[in-house]
Amino acid sequence: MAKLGFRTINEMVGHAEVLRVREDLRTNKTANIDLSLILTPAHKLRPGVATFNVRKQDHRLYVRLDNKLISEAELTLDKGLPSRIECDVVNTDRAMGTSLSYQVSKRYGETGLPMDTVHVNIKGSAGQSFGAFLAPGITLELEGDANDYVGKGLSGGRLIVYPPRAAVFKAEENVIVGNVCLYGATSGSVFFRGVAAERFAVRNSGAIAVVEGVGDHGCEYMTGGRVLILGSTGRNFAAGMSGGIAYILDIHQDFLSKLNPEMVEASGIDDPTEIAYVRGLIEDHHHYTGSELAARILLDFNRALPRFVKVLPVDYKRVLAEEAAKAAELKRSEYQLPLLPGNEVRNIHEQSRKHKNKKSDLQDIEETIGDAAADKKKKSLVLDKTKGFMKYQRRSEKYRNPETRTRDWAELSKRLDEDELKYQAARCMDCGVPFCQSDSGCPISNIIPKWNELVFQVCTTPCFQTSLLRVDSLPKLSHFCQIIIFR
Amino acid sequence: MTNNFPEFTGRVCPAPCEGACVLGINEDPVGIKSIECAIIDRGFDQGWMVPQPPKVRTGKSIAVIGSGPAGLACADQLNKAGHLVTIYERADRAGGLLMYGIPNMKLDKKIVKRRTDFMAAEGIVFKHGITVGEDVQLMDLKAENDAVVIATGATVARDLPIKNRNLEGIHFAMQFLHKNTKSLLDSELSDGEYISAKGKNVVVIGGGDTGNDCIGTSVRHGAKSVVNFELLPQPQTERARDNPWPQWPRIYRVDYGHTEVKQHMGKDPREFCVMSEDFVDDGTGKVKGINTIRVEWTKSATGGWDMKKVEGSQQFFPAELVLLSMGFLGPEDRVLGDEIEKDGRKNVKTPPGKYHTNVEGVFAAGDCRRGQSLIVWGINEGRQAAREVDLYLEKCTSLPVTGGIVKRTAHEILGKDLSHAEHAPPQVTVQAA
Repeated sequence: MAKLGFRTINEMVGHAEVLRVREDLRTNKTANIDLSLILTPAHKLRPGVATFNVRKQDHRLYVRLDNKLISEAELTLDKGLPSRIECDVVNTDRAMGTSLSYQVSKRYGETGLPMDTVHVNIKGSAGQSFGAFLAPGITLELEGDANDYVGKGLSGGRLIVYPPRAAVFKAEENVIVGNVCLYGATSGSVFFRGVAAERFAVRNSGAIAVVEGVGDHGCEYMTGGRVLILGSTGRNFAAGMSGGIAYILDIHQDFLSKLNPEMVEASGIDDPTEIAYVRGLIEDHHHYTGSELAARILLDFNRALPRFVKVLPVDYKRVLAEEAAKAAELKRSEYQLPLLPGNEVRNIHEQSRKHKNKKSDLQDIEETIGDAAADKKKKSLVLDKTKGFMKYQRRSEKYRNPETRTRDWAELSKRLDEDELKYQAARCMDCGVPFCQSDSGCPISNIIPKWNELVFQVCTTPCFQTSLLRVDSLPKLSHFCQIIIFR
Repeated sequence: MTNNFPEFTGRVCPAPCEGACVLGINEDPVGIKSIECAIIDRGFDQGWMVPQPPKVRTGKSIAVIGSGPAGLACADQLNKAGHLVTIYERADRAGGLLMYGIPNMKLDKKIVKRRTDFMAAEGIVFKHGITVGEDVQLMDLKAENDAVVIATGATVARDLPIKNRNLEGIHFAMQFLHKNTKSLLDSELSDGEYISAKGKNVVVIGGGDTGNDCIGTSVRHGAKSVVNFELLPQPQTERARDNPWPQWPRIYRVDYGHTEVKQHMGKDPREFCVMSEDFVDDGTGKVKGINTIRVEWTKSATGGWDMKKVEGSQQFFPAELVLLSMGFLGPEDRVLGDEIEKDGRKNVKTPPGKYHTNVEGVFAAGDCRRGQSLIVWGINEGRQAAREVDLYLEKCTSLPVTGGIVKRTAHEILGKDLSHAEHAPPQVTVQAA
């Protein structure tokens, strides 16, 4: 800047004459581009016009409707007591509830307040970004309608929107909230009695939404959360959706033509827990918004059930399945013996484990990324030989695929790899009464526990790993191994 | 130390050790076999397995007849003790049942070759293609050597003497497997010197491991269908009350051949409680099928099992190839002649716990002595027989007893002068390092 002769940035604004075009970077594509017009400063055309900030902006935060909410919710903010607030809203009131959320988050952190601590009953037509970044514990109940960006970045709060009670139109056939609802929402829930416009739940990564219809590009780039749509959708539904689940009540049976199947697959709902979950959501929706549509569905839920379509991203499905398998595995390793619930031993066992058990509720596919590497590292470091027999499953040699292995005469079993051997060796508990090498076990009395111990050490000692590759400098252990086993 | 051939047992042993594993009481046992196999494979891979011929030779020579697990183990041990061992094998490749009895997919023949080559490099002499009893007589070997060990195995197969047994297309399992492996090794099955199951309905009679190997081989040939007869009822999926841990679990198992048939033909090949009544001639002297009847097993008053035919359960199974795998009876007479005394089961007779026969300097080990058994038992027999031979020749031995333990008597340690050995313990056990 000094070289160019400027003291401040403001002085520099508009001095296009000091910019030079680097001719050496010209390519065939840019050969004919003339930048002089675009670089003409505004003050040349209109002398005296301000080209930088000359007057402090006034966002008029002091007249925001949120100030009313904050002051009325004073008791809640100070002492955590519940409060109920009534107010009217007009469409110039933007980002309603966001400043209140700021106050809540400032005092109570990410976890916020218990559900429904601040309940705001609002009437009217809300402006843009209604309930943006709403913190946990705040419920905004709007009788009326809302503009675009409802629930943008929703962070745990609850939004309920339904048409005026006096309205005579059919709620489920009319748009009630604008475009791009729930953009980037991370948690919380919304219930809209009516249709949402385009790009509903775009980039949603954890919020739960119930709505009675959506416009085009619904659930675009969604990575988590659950969306229940009790009506029709627009075209290009679930484009780039990589996580979360959408349930659509496809009454007119034309949903599949609107689905973008690139990354997702559609199916029915048959899992009883899933059916119960969807029904629960509809019941909530009816309770909060008084939806007639929901009431009709609940009246004869079993008839509506086959019309539900579940949209599940393929990768997400795999991740969920893996997660479930892992949980099942964990549970199985927890209960080696068939101890039924209510059994005394199991109760004690459960209590002792209670504090350790963390509920893994996978809402966002992004949570699963990045952990695999860390997990693997953890595993390869420590294996517990003392309790290995309780923790690890038997890994035996796998046979090759029976379909293809019959085409050749090569050996049909695959040998175990290093890691599997390690697990297997860790399962030998050094029981002290090695029946395996007794009369009923190995006829030649192989010193099996000792071998297992050696293999365990061989596989877990890092220095040994490297030495295995270099035979010329065998350390003590491998030499020992050689003597004991091979000779 | 304890096992001369972990690469064999690590692959094809039924693993009684896993049946006896303490963890197996209420859990899946430790995968001992896999670990065993991995150790030795690594040993070979890493080049730690270097042939080490004995540093000192005793000058005694020993002939071992048969190169199966018992013969090989015996030879290996005797060679370690410094004796010069010659193995006589009637087949063209050494290994006995390891080579020609077990198909390649279960135990790769390269593994067997690797071991016999290794032993040859340590100084053991292999003489292939020499049939003792025909090319050379047992007593000649006895005269040429200081000791002879008979390890011929129990090769007389149990026959099924029912009507039309002499039809073409009925073979013993060992014939079938032997020819197949030989042809495979000689020419990748291109010389046609094997019994092919291609396009045939195959019936395997006998539900043991050999039967299963026949099934797997038939599937690889491209058999039209494969059925396996088993006289006994289907075992339970869990240990029965009379078969507690740590006994070998007698449970229903699905082996590789069964899986393959199920995969390719949609059905497990096994038929339980089936008795063959007679083979059916197709009119040209070839077998067309088998008439069978189902049987029922009931416990008799004395606690034994009684078999009863079920009336009206006759069934015809089509078969162009019938393989008999009903176990083995005992050793062939060819080697033994009349000199060697035999026991009631036609096995070579030895005193209990000993391996010497009625002829001095002639020993027996393996299936020919104890009847058909496992590879590990063969290895054990070979090792213990070797120890006895070494004791016989040298009057003392450093070869270990079972479990790799070197046992020496006070007599050996202190020499013949026992005058001041009275206070010494009668036996000293040394754990070899």
